[in-house]
Amino acid sequence: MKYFVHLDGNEIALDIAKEGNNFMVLSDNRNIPGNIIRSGDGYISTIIGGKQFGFFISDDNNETIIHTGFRMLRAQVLDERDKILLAFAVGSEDKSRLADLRAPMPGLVVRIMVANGQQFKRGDGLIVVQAMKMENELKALHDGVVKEVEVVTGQAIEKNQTLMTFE
Amino acid sequence: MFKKILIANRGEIAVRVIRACHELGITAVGVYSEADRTALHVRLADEAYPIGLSPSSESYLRVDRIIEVAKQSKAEAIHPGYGFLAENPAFARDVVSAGLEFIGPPAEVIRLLGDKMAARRAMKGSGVPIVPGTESSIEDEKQVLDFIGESGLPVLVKAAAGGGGKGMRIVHSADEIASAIKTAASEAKSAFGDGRIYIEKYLPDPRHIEIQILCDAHGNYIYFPERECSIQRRHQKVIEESPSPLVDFRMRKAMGEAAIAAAKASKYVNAGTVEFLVDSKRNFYFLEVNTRLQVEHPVTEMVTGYDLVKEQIRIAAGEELGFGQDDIYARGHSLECRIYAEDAINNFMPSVGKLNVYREPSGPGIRVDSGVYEGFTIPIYYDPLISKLIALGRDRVEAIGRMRRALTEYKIIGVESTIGFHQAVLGEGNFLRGNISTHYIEDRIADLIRDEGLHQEERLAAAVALAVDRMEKDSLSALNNSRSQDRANTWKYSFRLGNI
Repeated sequence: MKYFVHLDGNEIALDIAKEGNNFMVLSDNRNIPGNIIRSGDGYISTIIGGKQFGFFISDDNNETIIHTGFRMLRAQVLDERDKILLAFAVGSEDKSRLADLRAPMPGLVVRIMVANGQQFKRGDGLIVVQAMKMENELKALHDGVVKEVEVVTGQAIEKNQTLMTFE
Repeated sequence: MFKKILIANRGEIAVRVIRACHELGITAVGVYSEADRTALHVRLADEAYPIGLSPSSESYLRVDRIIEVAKQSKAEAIHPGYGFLAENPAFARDVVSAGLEFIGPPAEVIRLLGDKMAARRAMKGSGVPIVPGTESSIEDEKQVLDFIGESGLPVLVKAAAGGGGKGMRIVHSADEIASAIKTAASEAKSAFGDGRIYIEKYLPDPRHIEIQILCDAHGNYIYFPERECSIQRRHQKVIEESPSPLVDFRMRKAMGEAAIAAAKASKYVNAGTVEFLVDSKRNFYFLEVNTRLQVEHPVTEMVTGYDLVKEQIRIAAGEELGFGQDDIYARGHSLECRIYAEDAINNFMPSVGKLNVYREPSGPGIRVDSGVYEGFTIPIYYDPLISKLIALGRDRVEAIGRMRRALTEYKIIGVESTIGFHQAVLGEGNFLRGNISTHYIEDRIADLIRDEGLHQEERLAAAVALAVDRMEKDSLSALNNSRSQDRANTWKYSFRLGNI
């Protein structure tokens, strides 16, 4: 699985395959084998090239923190989907109130859950799109009214394509 | 010997005194503020009584509450620890008036030595060398100018009732005098209730070396090998050691005898510490006497093998010291690092929170005096001392090596701690050579808190650990929730991600 780890001011791209406690990680064009295990007290021991590194990882308020040595570092782990969503979110101008709903990634419309003129509340499901072999229910970030749904079920959509507009 | 002692303190020193009581077969009574109900010292005490709300002024400084509890519990003596009421002569007097023993010097001795100017007068009269300074308190600029005329610049304005760096100002030139005496006096007034100030000659780059003394009520006075406490930050000690890398046998004897002279001059009883400043020519000057057990007492215990708290209790119980000066010598070298819940990189801002992970180091030559445990939340009301990490080695090099090893083993997660800072000091060339003074930290703070960043190998391992941790969490939540529920958060999630 591919991951992008933001740590210590760096972005590290990894492709990890795991079998039991053994792993193979592809990073920087090198294939590196290793072993990793989490102990009962939360300590994560990683052995790479014979060297043992220990970490504690905690999630606090949506922040991931990794403790290594004497340091406490903020980290962020993105998988491929997250990276795409992030690119989409960063591109969005007005985060407070959106005029439309755009496809975060290319995919297929699976199910449309609202109709033109329908009122919705923050948190309501608006549309389900299938992408990267998984279904994604896109939910409303704020209260509103659907102006016009611009796609139909079964339609193939592209990234950033407008799915529906809001009043 | 006492059957029951009340410990009027909290945190690591309360734990320390409770341990001494238990080793002597004495019942230990603890007191706790609201915030300390779950504190370690309460767990270890045999009896525990609430003494008020969390702020110190409503609990650990409440003389009335403490004495009331002491009577209620039928304690025979009170050990004040350090800080709080330990050097409050009125408290010492009230304890005795209530029919209990105060484990420390008599109230009058505390009062005399607590007045820094009166102490200096007493020392001067007994031939103890003192830092040149004014005899009486300063009322105006002219007195300061007169002193400067005699002793030169720079000078230090100090609070007569003071300590801990409060009410202190350095004066480098005559035009700084007026504002220095005004601000020092007002700071002293608000910190100690006494705005009297005096002037001392300012020694550039001095070393802080102190002598532990034990005096019983039978006229026996003993001094211990010196402690060096030069590694300070804003006049707070951070790293202490015994013996001092500077002091040789002859200087030790001279300082020890000066400390005994100081003790006799003030009719001292129980444990105390005579502090000296040492200049670059190895001249030592009396600074003050601390009329209590010191935070850094463990390094003396480690190199001499004596338990100072048990000796305090024995002295207060009327026993004669069971050893003589010839029995006391330093064997090996000991260091202490005060581990504070502070963020060294952000100007040592106190970091409060829950100790999610707390693992103390151990192994050869390592001692940890702490008042915390894993899962404890460090209260915001008191000083942020997590623990004292103490190392003993055959020599200074081994003590440092053990301390460094212990610092890497020490795991504290949930609050920032000064572990990394101590590790930086213990790897720095001047410290390793014993080339230190009270300006040590100030002079090289930027280097000491510089974040080196992760090495490439460690960074990769950390990235793998984070990725695998994420894999595990994802598969766990996939098991717990239905798929679509999970992905429903995608929309909100994408905005959270925008915070990279």
